[in-house]
Amino acid sequence: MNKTRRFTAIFLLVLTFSLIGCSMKKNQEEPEKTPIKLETSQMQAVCELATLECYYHNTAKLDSEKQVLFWNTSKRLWIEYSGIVKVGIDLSKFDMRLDGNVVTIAIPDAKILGCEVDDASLSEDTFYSETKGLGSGKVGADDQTKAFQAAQEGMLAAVQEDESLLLQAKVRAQTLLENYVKNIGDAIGIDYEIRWETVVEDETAN
Amino acid sequence: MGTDNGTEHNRRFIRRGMVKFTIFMSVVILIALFVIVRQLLKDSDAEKEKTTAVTSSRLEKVLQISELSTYKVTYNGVAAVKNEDDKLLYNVAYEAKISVGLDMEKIKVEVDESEEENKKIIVTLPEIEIMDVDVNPGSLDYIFEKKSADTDDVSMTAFPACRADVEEECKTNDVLFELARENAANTIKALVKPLLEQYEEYSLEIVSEGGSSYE
Repeated sequence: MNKTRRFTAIFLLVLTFSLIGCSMKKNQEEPEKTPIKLETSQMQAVCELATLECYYHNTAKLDSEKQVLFWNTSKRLWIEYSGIVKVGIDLSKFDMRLDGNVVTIAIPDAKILGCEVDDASLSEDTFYSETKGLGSGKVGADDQTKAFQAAQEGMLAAVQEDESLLLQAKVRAQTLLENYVKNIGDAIGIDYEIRWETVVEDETAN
Repeated sequence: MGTDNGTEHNRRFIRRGMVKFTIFMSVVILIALFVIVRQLLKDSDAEKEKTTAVTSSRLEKVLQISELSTYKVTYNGVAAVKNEDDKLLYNVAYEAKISVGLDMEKIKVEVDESEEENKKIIVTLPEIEIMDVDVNPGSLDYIFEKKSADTDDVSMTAFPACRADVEEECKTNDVLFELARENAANTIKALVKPLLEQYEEYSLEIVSEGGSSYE
């Protein structure tokens, strides 16, 4: 009897430590992440004229479902906030030709120059969360990062599809440049006539 | 009598032994169960979570601006967020794009015709400033010093912290502002020089608000 008990105890001890060992080995078998050297900054000369600042009311709804052992769990996160998109033209593609007092200016179509989250629109009242089921985990920072990323992408897509907004930004750029050229003309006593052309951007160049 | 006492003693000894054995086996089985359940939960986390995101955007207002950006910086940094007692709650890594330039509507154009042979077009550029700080919300990555700080609205404090961190870095970067100033001057030259080509009596002078020349 004593021998049987001893044998059973040793067997179960070996089994337990094997399981612990397997669990640790599985963790060690996860591919080693190659440390990425962070480039702390990258500076670049640009020439961008932002002519419209657009405020969007964004809502992001994130739903996560997960099965834990034999039951389903879920967690939900809703965020509402203001996103800001700046639209304008790339002035590095600008071209100007002079023929007497006729100035022909070529500029590209307007595009999105930048987008950001309006921090001032965030408050405790703009975050809503709910968890259901044992083992669902809590709604945390990673969920918010995913939600914001999805919302920003949605906002950019909405701007990209709004042709009237992009046209409005281009027209504003034309107004600014026209005023600038006419100021130079006034200074030297010339009344310039402005004509406009569109530069076709080579998308493959980017 | 002696034999009875001996038998009773043996029985008690065996009973104590069995109790100890039972406790020992229970502990071993509980540890084994714990390890199995933990592994099963880990597998659940890795394989079975499905996430969907639904978003909507509505245009609220449009403002007309005239921001000429002449330099852009992509910056990867780490901001520290502390509580009221100055104790670290978490660090957040982020990526941000900073645009530096000037307000085009503040550019002044004047002419100096005091010398007949040396007329000047004087373009005065406003001060170079930070036009935009775009913190990429999808780039935020957190390490929590206090796990309790990982709440469902933690990004409310993370965004302003990241913005403040990058603005602080840029303010001390004199090279950035100097390069932006030079590029602004080059842009203005490109806009003006074609107009002055047929008027040789005019030269272009670009100055800052403080009066210093860009030549």
